[in-house]
Amino acid sequence: MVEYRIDRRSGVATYLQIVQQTKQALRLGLLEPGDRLPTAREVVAATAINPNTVLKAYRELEREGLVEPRPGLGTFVRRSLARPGAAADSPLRAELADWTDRARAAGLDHEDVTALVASVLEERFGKTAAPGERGHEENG
Amino acid sequence: MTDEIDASGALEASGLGKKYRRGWALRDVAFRLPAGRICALVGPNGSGKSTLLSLAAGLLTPTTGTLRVFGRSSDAPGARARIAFVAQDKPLYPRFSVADTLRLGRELNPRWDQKTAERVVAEGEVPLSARVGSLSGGQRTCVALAMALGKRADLLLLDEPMSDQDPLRRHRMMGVLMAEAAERGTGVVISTHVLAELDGVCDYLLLMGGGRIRLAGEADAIQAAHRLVTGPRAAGGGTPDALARHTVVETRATGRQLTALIRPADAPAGDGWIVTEPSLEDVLLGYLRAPDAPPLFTADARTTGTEVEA
Amino acid sequence: MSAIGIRVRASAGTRPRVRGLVWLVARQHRAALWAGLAVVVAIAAYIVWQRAEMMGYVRAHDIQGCTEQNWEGLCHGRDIDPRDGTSPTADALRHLSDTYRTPLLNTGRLLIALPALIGVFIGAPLFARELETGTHRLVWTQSVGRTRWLIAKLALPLTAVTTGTAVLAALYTWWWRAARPQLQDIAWGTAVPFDATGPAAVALAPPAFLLGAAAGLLLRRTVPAMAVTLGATAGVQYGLDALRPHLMTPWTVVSDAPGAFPSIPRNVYFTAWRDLGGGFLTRSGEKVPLDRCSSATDSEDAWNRCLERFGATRRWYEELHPASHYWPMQWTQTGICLAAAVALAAVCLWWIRRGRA
Repeated sequence: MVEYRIDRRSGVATYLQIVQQTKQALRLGLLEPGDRLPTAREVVAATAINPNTVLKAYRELEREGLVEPRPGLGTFVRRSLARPGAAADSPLRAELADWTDRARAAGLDHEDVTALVASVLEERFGKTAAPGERGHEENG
Repeated sequence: MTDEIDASGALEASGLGKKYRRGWALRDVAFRLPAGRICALVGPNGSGKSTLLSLAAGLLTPTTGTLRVFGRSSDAPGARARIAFVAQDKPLYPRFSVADTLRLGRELNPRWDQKTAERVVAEGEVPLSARVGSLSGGQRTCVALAMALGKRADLLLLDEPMSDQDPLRRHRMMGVLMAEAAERGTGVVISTHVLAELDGVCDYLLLMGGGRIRLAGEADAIQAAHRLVTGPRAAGGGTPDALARHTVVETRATGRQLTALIRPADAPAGDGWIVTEPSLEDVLLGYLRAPDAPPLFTADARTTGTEVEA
Repeated sequence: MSAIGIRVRASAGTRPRVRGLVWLVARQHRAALWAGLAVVVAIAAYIVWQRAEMMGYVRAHDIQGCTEQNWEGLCHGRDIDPRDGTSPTADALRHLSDTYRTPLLNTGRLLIALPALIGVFIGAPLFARELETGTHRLVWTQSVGRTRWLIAKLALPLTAVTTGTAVLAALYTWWWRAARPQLQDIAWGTAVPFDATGPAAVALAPPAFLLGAAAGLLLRRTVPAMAVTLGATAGVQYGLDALRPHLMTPWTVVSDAPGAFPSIPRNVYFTAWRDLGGGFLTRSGEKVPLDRCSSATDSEDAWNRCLERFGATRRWYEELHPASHYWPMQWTQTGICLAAAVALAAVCLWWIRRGRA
């Protein structure tokens, strides 16, 4: 089960924060197909946000084919976003860790590394990263 | 969340006016609030918020016009059971215990839900045996909210419910309120003059000023209908030509620069103008600073009697 | 009565529970109810005790039905008005009057003050306090209508104060009837005992209570409502006092000279409410009330001349209400009070239905 953290000052629409945090959980394997998302009631009781916002977020996730509502039961995860390469023990991660160590040895600090990674990501993926993705801490 | 579709809407006002001995508190108010919305009723003190809520609760009778509650006159007997009202001063019997107060709700409401009421009181950490007169302001509010939620109404009218709550209890109470809305599709109207209190909570907006409605409708739609533009100030002061074809809500000049909140007639382009989407708070502040700006009603806030402005 | 929510539900093994608005009103006025009960019990106990003491004394001295004002001066054949000195019977009658007249009259005064107290302390705050503190909005936004609320708010205390007053009035009437033969000089038509005995005593409570309630409803402020109620109930009781001799046409009895006995049975004369007015008759039988010459009291001469000018003879007339008028007058006053109560209740209903409160 995920627990949503709503940042009212982030400037990101509340429903988008829920969408992004759900995807994040799917990517990291915290949510797997068959898992139930918290009900709108549970979410709003904890976060004190508008229930329609939660429903809007779930509709968005449903539209993307990530979740499906089962009447009377709740909303369930349909497919995962976890890729083998993103898992905590994947070779790609190990390579990135190696590279980060080297960057550090070369005298780059945290901000330098982040800027460098962001610029490469932008160059290779194009401008897709939504601002809401920024705030999440690394899991691992 | 149950889809309660009420063709007539939770509230529908037309030509609504209320005159007190000292003058008109509400004038010519017409709007529509669909069922199941969380509506923020915003406006400066004395703008008519409390009067509007008291009229909807059936405590006052309109001087002119009508206010319909789920299609029925607000003082009709059937309307009373569908509405719960928490007045600004949270009237409760000071010599009753909290348990007695909840029993009052149970005795006087056929649809009373004791469990919900007790849960709200427990959430606010108010002991059932305490005398109401000995409670703090925040605890009283909590009991008043428990009364409103226990009634199992379809529309909750809350007049500045959070003004005396500490941040923790405010968050909890809002959570309880939203959970109730999520579970039963209950509509909520919350009046406030601190919009930040309702950030992320409301999806509908009524802005009042001088006894009239100035903005009414979906919060998203209202936000989307506005643009914040920044550009060069006109030579002689006044509104620059580039903005003339838009509805200008408010302009502010800083040095040679001019910032305006506008309702664009079409794509608000123009050489040298920076266009951004304002936050809801920007929009509200703009209207509050410009009391003469033309009102805006989005499509589902309009009644047949509402003049179409946008 | 289900319209105001009296539903007494007896669930197995528990005592019946009051429900709805009746519960609310009873809960709200719990303290007042106990206080009122305590007052009733205290006064009732006092009346029972005083009456028992008095009757004990009367029996011990065998002076039942005797009065100092007895025309014959005899009590069961014993002299009560000896020419010289005194007699044990006369002493006993004097002692009876000295000991029990004041408590009897003072208790009556307390009882006729009760309607005003009920109006001021129970009626006036009933709605005024709710309207003043805004708690009426708590009830008005529940699922019951204002009219039902108003009816429950009025009906319950009304029942309570009427019951309490009825108990006290009955006990006082019981005491009064035992004391009356010995203390015949007390005029029965004055406020004490008339307003403290019989149905009239009970019927004063509802209009006083409703007067207070209506004042509170209209004025919306407790203290002004209490002041208005105090003034109005005092005015009403004063007005009733002035009206009372006219509730029925008094009898006119005639005697040959002032002080001579009129031509009616003596026991009727002595049990009548007298001192309503009197004067002399002219030869043709017209009345010349004494007060017509009240300005000519410088000397007996002037007075006689004044009376002669009006053609007065030495024939004396007197107006009085015989004891048989007591019950018709009681019921007439009761009717007036209940009509006023109905009118006041109607005002309250009309006011709340108009949505003015």
